[in-house]
Amino acid sequence: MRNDVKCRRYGRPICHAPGIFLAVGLMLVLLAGCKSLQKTTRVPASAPAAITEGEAVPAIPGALPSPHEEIWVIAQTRSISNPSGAPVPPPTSGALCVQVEDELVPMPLRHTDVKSAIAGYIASVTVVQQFHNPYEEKIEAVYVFPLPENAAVSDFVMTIGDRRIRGIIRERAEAEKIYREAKRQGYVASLLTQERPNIFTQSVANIEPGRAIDVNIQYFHTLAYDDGWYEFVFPMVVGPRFSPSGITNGVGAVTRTKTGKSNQATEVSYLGRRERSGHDISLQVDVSGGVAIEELSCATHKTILSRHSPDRVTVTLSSDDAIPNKDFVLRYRVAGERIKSNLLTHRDQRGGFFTFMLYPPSDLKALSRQALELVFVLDCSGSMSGAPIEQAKAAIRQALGRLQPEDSFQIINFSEQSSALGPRPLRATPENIGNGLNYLRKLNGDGPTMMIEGIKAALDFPHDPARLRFVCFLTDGYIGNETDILRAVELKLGASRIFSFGVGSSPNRYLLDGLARLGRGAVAYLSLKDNARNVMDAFFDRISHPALTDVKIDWGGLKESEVFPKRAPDLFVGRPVIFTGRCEGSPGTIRVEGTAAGRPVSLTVTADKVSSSTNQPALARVWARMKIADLMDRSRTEDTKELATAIQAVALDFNLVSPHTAFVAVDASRRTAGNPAVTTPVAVPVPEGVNPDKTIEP
Amino acid sequence: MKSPRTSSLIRGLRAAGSSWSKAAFWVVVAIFLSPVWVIPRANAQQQLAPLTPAAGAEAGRFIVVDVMVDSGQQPLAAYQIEVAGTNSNGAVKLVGIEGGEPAAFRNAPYYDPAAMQGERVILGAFSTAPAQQLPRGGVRIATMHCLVWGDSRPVFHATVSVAATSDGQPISIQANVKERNEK
Repeated sequence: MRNDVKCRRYGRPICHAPGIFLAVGLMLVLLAGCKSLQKTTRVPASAPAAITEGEAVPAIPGALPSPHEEIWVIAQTRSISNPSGAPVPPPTSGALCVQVEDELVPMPLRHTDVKSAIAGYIASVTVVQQFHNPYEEKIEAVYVFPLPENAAVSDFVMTIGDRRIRGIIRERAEAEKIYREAKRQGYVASLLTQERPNIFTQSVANIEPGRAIDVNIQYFHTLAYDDGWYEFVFPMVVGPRFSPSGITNGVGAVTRTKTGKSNQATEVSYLGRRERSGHDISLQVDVSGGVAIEELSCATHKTILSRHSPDRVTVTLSSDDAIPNKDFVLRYRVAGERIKSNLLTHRDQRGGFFTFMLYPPSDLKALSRQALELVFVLDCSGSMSGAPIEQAKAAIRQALGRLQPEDSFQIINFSEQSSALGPRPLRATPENIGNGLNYLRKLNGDGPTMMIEGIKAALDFPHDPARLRFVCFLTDGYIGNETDILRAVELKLGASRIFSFGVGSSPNRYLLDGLARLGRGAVAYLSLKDNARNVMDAFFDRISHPALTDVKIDWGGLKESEVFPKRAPDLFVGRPVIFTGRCEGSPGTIRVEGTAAGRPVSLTVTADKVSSSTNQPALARVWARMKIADLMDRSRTEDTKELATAIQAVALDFNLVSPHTAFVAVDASRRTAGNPAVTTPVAVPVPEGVNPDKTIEP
Repeated sequence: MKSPRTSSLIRGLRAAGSSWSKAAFWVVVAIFLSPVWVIPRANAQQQLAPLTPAAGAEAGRFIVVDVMVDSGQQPLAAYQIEVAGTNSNGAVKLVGIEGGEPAAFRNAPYYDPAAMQGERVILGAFSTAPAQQLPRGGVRIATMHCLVWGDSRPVFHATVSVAATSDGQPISIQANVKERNEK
């Protein structure tokens, strides 16, 4: 599992305030000529020592470290900048903007700055997107970008020079109409819409040549927690999705010279193989653990760590890893929190809100597992070709090696169609496992992602009732018809449990989380830098003990209502479940009852044993976001008109972006001159490890 | 009763660690906790008309509306103002809220989203700057960007819900709203 490595630490505490300026100045001068210095922190061996320590990074931008803070020495930074300061030809000239020698493509998005503060398991994140116009004509910039699938986007400010205009939340159609009208009349305006829970579109109209406009977005979300590790994720790019023929509300993927050709409602345009835009990203996460933070790990990026106190650290993305082409994933573990349930509450004029993180009872580990039937479903579409499919195959190989003789297994693969190792589950004999490994070896990534074929093949597959069936999907989730897939899972699930494994540098977490949630299982992520064996071992540890099923909760004096998820999911060892609801009473004794291995299990959580805190204003919006997600789930099978109205009402009440609400901001103080703005999509890099030739329409 | 925005303001005040005395701080907190912050929709005397323009109406026009306040000799540290408007022959819709002229109120004020659904707006902002950096006299404290349909000129009304100085003393301020001249 997670082994630790030791690295060296450079620098020393600086103790005298007057000396801070001199010491930091000298250090920066010295470091300017230094090469990379790899450093310390305890990180899993599975990951490269990604959290490097080094250069003094103040907790707050512009501030100096205080005397008790540690100074860490890190890699030398390499600036990534767009050398083209002069105006370039208008965007209408398409490919003509490419400067082949340095592979630089001017784009209207210059920089993204992300700042996050984590308290407990709630993250508050501010994202500033810095748009500019490097062309000679007025433009409308359109940027399709990802956010976490559970992000409650609640604030939106457009900045023009030193003027700040707060956006207004409106019914989506109304906001779009206002935006179109402002754009048509030549006013600077911006619009933020949601295309999927994890895909948003930012449009900024009438940016004049040479001008810059910033858009500031704020959101909240709860962190995932797994086997003692909290996980903070900031996605940076939308992967190229495949939408089956006949679908027009999908997410198209085209090269930047073919914009508008996908015929999909949402379209992402990608830079070519040898192209780069000047868009880079800075990111800082301030973690307040409440108790000592024992370990941190960032397998995806180079980072700089600044520890201010045992329970507070700041992690900053290294400037030489600033290309936004993969998810940023930070994991950390705090002391003594591994077996505690946790209750957070908040009250305002709308009433009370709470989140309850319920840990599974520790005695589940004492119970032995049933015989298993494992069905591995491997995505062999083009987007998985190369490193992603090799990661997934390594994970399946590890899993096959962990099977017991009483278990059975099957391997199904899909791209345009599905096929399988055999027509029924195979006993986990050495011979069958050998055949499985041979079959696996021949699989490669090519063709479209007809995931529905994989779903059908896996869930319609003959089931052995004597065994507990787990269906393991290994995919990047690069599809545009998530609703169809999730609906199929709801209809066909039966006795199966689905465990989804998100493979690659920027998987579709909305789909993968949804598969696991609807499939009464759990999700795990397998980035290109993760150790596939460790990820699969963690999965086996989880399923090697019975889950607590049929969970019922008596909330005692909390006087709860509208608790989400509505149906309590099963509790697996090491995986707590977060409930979010409204409440009118006070926390007292919470009773949890369920069944494990056919026997009743009960659990009592009393107020004095619950880590409890009050006044968490983000909770109201986290709850609202959960309610919207629940309504969206229902809209797959129920009357969508009524549900759309309900979603809109919640979103307007809580100032949230949703499928039916949007933020709009207009600067009505000045009408820009000249011709109508040229719509210019922001082309983004292809996610790291993804083969553009097999995923993007040329 | 306490609005979420009020909570934000209070959190902001606390986080700022300003030089205000504790007593002054709690006075301001009390002001923002006051029931006046949440005004029942039914009591709104004037409401902005619905967005949808009348059939056959021409394209909308964008206007800028300045919210002016006059605190006399008192330093203004916090305010909450309700603005409503009418358009006798059309509709008016808020499409952006901008911060004011004084540096202390340059950030865009917050608005109450629940009140917005009643087609009026409740604006609120505070500053923890020292008294000498706070505005006195007549200043533009915020600007509203609006989309208007119809021929008639909309009429706006401002009602001060609450205002306070940096030491937390409630003060009486004058507020008025006026459409900025043609751009």
